Amino acid sequence: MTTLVQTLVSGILVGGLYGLFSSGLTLIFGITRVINFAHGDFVTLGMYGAVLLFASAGLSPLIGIVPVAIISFVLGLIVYRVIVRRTLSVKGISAVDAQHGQLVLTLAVSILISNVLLMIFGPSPQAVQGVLPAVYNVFGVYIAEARLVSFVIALVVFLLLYLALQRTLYGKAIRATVDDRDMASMVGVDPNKVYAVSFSVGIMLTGVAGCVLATYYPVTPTTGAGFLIIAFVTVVMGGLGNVVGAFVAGLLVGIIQQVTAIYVAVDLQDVGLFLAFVLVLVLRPQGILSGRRASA
Amino acid sequence: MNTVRRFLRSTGGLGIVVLVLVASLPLWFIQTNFVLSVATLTLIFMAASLGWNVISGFGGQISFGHSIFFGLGAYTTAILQVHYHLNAYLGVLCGVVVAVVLAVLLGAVTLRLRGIYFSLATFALTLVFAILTGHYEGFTGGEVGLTLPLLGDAPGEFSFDNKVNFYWIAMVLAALAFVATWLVLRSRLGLQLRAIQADQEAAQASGVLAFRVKLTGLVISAVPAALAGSVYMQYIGFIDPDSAFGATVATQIAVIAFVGGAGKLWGPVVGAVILVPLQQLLNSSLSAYPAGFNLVVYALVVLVILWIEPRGIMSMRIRRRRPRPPAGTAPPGDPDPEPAATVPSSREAG
Repeated sequence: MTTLVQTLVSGILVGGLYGLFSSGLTLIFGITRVINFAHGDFVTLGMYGAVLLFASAGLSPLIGIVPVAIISFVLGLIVYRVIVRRTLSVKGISAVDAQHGQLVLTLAVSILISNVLLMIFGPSPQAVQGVLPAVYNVFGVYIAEARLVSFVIALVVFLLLYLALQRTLYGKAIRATVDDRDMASMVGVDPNKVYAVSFSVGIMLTGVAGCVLATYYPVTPTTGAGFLIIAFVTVVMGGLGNVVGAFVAGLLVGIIQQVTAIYVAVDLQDVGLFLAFVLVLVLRPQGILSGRRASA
Repeated sequence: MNTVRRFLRSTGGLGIVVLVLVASLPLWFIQTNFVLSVATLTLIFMAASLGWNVISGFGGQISFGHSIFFGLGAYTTAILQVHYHLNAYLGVLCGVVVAVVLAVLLGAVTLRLRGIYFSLATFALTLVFAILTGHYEGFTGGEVGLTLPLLGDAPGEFSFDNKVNFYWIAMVLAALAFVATWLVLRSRLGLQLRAIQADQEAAQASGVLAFRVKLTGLVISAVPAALAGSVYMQYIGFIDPDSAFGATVATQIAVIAFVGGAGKLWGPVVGAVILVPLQQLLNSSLSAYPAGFNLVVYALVVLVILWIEPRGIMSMRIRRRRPRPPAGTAPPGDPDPEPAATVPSSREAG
């Protein structure tokens, strides 16, 4: 029984961070329709950001969130403006061709980021050590301080995103664009602005998740590849474009992973996840947590 | 002059010229074993990418899981040879059979998915294969991989001392894959695949059995990929889960075609000739460049090419100054060897 509770708790704690970077991916997809293959590498960038700030300035990743968030936002803006938007401005290109172009371009960005990191930092894992070292024992269930704090931060950042989407004018413009982009632009929403902002915010959330994750997860240049596929799985389970769905699915994905790892085999934890993913795709492509019908 | 130009503009004519050129390379261009190995790998990945082009390029179902067939081809021959001492050529044949069976099974599930969902499902599945081959190590050698026994010069067992033989075999494979995709493109199946790519509903309304056509396309598409995998295995003599099913191979096969031009007959050929040598020549284990440098350059080249033309090199139009025809008259012949439009041209559809 303790093992089960322990498994569930671990799953939920790591799932919060999955939820955070996946909500970034789903925000990007829901609005710009871009499948961002570089998403996992922005998690890695956030992690290296935390490692660098800690090693050079002694800055705790919890404070490092602020500079990492700003840098990620700017990077997101650059990638969107320079690379992604280019495909839409090519003469006579069809929507499908443009989307395929974006797919390969973001894939190239992914290869670029992970190999630039490899050239700078080398292949060996790096970590932020000694931050939040405590481990609590709650009725026999062990909870690491770093994981708990990371989860709380992920939850808070996600709630801020949710409030921003619900309450601010920008948020409303974004939601309107998700629902119906043509109608949104008819009532005066500037699609280019909305696209650029939501892409950048999506990358920002991803960077923040990476920064916090670095408190307990060592990082290598290829760490992002694993997160990319986790983000895809999460986003599809939550329903593409559904931000709340992505966060809840993140928790679920964390749990599935942990349960497979404990009860089947550690190195098979992702097999359980991917098979669940293909099943969800085939049986309910609009996502298990989405009430809407599939639109893609 | 006109006859020569017309000859070069026809797919068959250009194909013969290219084939003669490729066949002559070892005589005047390829001087070192290093260049020979780069050229051989280029042809192997070209074949895999040509296969990809059938379902993903013509049919529009973008697969990020063709490494499944590549890896199955490689692993099947390796397992049969290492564990059962089966003849290597029979092993290659078995690899194709296994890949075709898996294409039917996986296609039956994934081809019901549309657009990006199909891509994500195939991507997840190839990673499942990578993890499972790493896990069940008794058969597959696990993460360490499988190494073929050294047989020396045994042509009957697909083993040659003179590595140029592998070059010829890879060339024949790529040529066959090219001819196969060309035949598909000209056939009824190719037309149906392209109709599905353009608009599946409209195609179905016109009587195209979309699911069956896509499944046929996927099966045909798996064969060159599986053959490429088993030739790769025989050539390198070693395979591990990552170099068979990993994300790098999975995306590599697709990126080659995208850079050259997905859905264009010559796309994978052009893409492979540019990307594979680029990646190999700058490889850190074979040159003085630091680890990662080759892929940084690779990524930048892909970015620049697709930034200029997201549909790939074959869609780039060389601007020629030619007098505009007066309005109302028929336009002169298409200057491109391959028209950019997705609708079948009179030349390709035969």
